Amino acid sequence: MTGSIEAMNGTVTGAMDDDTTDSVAGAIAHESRTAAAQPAPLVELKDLTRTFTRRGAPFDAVSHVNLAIMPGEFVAIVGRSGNGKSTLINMVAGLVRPTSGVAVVDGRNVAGLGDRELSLLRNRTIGFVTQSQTLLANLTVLDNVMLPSTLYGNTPSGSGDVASEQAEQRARTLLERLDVADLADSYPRELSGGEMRRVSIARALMNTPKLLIADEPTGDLDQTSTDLVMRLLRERADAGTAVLMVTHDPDALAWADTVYRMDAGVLSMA
Amino acid sequence: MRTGALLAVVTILALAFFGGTMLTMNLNTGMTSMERRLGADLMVVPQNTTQKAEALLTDGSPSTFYFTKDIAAKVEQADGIEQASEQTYIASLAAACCAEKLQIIGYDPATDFVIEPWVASQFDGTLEDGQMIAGANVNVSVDGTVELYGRTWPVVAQLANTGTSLDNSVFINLDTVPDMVDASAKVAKRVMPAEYADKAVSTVLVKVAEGYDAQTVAMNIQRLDPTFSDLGYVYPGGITATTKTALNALVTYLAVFVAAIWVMGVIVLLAVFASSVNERKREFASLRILGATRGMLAGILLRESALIGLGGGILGVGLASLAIFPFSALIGRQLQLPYLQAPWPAVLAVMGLAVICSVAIGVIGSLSVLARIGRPEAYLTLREGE
Amino acid sequence: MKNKLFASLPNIVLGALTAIAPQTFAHACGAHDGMMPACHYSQQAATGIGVVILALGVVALFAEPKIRVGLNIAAIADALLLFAVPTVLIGICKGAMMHCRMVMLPTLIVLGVLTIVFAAVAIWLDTRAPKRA
Repeated sequence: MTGSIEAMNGTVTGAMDDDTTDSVAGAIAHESRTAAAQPAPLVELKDLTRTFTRRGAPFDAVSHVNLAIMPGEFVAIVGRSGNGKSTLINMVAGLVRPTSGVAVVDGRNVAGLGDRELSLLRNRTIGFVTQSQTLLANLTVLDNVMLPSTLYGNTPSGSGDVASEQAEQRARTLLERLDVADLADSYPRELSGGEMRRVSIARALMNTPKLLIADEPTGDLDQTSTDLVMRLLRERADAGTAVLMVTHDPDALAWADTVYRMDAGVLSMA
Repeated sequence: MRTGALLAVVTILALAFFGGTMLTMNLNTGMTSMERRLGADLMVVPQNTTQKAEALLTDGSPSTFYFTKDIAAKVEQADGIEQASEQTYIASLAAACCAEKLQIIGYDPATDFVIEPWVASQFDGTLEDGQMIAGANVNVSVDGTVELYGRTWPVVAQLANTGTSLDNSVFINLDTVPDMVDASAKVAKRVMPAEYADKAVSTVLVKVAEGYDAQTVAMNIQRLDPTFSDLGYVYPGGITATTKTALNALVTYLAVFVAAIWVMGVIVLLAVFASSVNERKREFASLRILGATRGMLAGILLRESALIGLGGGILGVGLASLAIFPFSALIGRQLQLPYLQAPWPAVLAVMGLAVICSVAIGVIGSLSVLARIGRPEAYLTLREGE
Repeated sequence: MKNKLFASLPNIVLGALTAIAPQTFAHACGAHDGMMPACHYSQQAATGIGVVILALGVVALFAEPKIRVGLNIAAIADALLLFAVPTVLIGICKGAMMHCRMVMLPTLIVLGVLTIVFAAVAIWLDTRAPKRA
């Protein structure tokens, strides 16, 4: 299997280290996979911090995090819940604004984007598999999967009937890959937890994102489903997609290239 | 569930708004119609018949009363009278099967200034002896006649609805009155003694001259003969005023009622919308994750709430219509006030307004939600409690 | 289940009302001169139609969707008949202020409209559902 932890050379050192981060190391490690000699990282977090106020006292949910993810790299972050993992990935997706520091995705500073550009970035560049169930209850599974491609009138591949037919074809293919094709016309309430998770992964992949963010993608899945999901994520990474996964499932960790630990807002190598 | 609750609230609002407005409008239409029919400033009627005469003008039951023509002629001599015309009122028995009592009104086409102007808009001939003009509710058979006291009377015209007791009246000229009395004698109790038949007059309608008011003229009449102070004096203007007071009370009550329902409804709507944010946080959060802009979320919300408003508005107007239009006759009778269906363009306008208000209230209700998802870090709000 | 209730309950309730109303609060006028007026016969006919609509509703409780669609089409036809009886087929008393014209006719019309609306919704629900299942 390809999922061994062969590349332990991730990029980042947490905040305890000084800021002389050598992010090139990650790139070198992946030279065999990525064709370009010096590819730019798809995701670059620099001194990223988010401060919340809890019971009157400020605390850093995410504290001075530096991280770079190359295209095709599969990064996993582990850590107990409440340690800032979700806040970190939400900042990457531009859903939460950093207090200080920058998050650059695909060459753009996420915090500097307006609502429309940011939304477009989330729609086109990022695929997000959420921790909780976020399928829309009043749409069928197929419509849920196709939703990202219909939000903006014309899809990247064109517009009109042809495009929507292509989109449906693509959605069905994705569902097939995830072994839930027979549920295409069902409604989310008729699905089991594992089936819903697979459908949301299909939805996240709908617009062929450059960056796939997965928050506990195997959280409530059995072994078979976990393997299926992880194999798919691994395939995406091998095809050049950067994958950022948050998990505490040891089985899932084994599929990642790089594993980090998040503890009280501080990111470090696992 | 949420949609159902919102729809129900909007439906009730639209129903109250449309129903209340329609009732008010129909009452006002009835009132205007009644005012227009009461063209006289003063009615001189026999002793103790003032109330009957008033009832006859508004919405009461038919009655018969009379004094003699010589009194009438003398009354007309009084100072300050510009025009005077005599009328005779006879309450019929139920006409044919399945009909009810009619008010027979005999008037004098030569001097009349009350009925003719109104009739003229719908009948421009002269009313010959033996002919009738029928009010809107009178059951005229297909061959254009009315059967009354065992005789068929040709009807030359049927008048439009007025919302008053005049709709249950037939109009004949004064020369036909003795015929009518004869006819009644043959089939039932005669309505008045034979010797009165050709000299009975129920009322003298007076239009006062410039510079006089109705009360002064009434005084002048009483000064003509000491016995005239026993006569009844009815001031149609006063009746109009009394009816108007009753109507205004009802309209005010309706307005307060509708306003109260709207205030409560808006509060309920806002509460339901506010709680729906919680219910839908997840949905909005996932749309946001998928790359929907704030504008798209707002669009979805606005479209939904406008649709709910539209649906509720149409439902409410439909339900109110089911009550108001088929049962309008019953409503008119129960209110004991002139009640006349407003013209259709006005009804359609109120329908449109009710639906527009419903849509507006739906949109306004969703604004509170809009404000919450519009904030920059709305995503945090949306994911609270997970 | 929801569709089944929608296809049956409104017809049961409205059918019962259509049968009961003309005999009670929305009664016809009494005899005139020993002759039964037209509205009396309309009243009896309306009660009969009401019973039929009620029966259709009861049968719908035990029928599959396809049959329920047919039953509701029948209910619509019955409601149309309910309009026709007091207006065209038999008629009612002619006086505008008579009870049967002021109360019975509008009551029957309202019940008929409601029957048609609910039956139409039930047909829509029952024909739409199978495509999804």
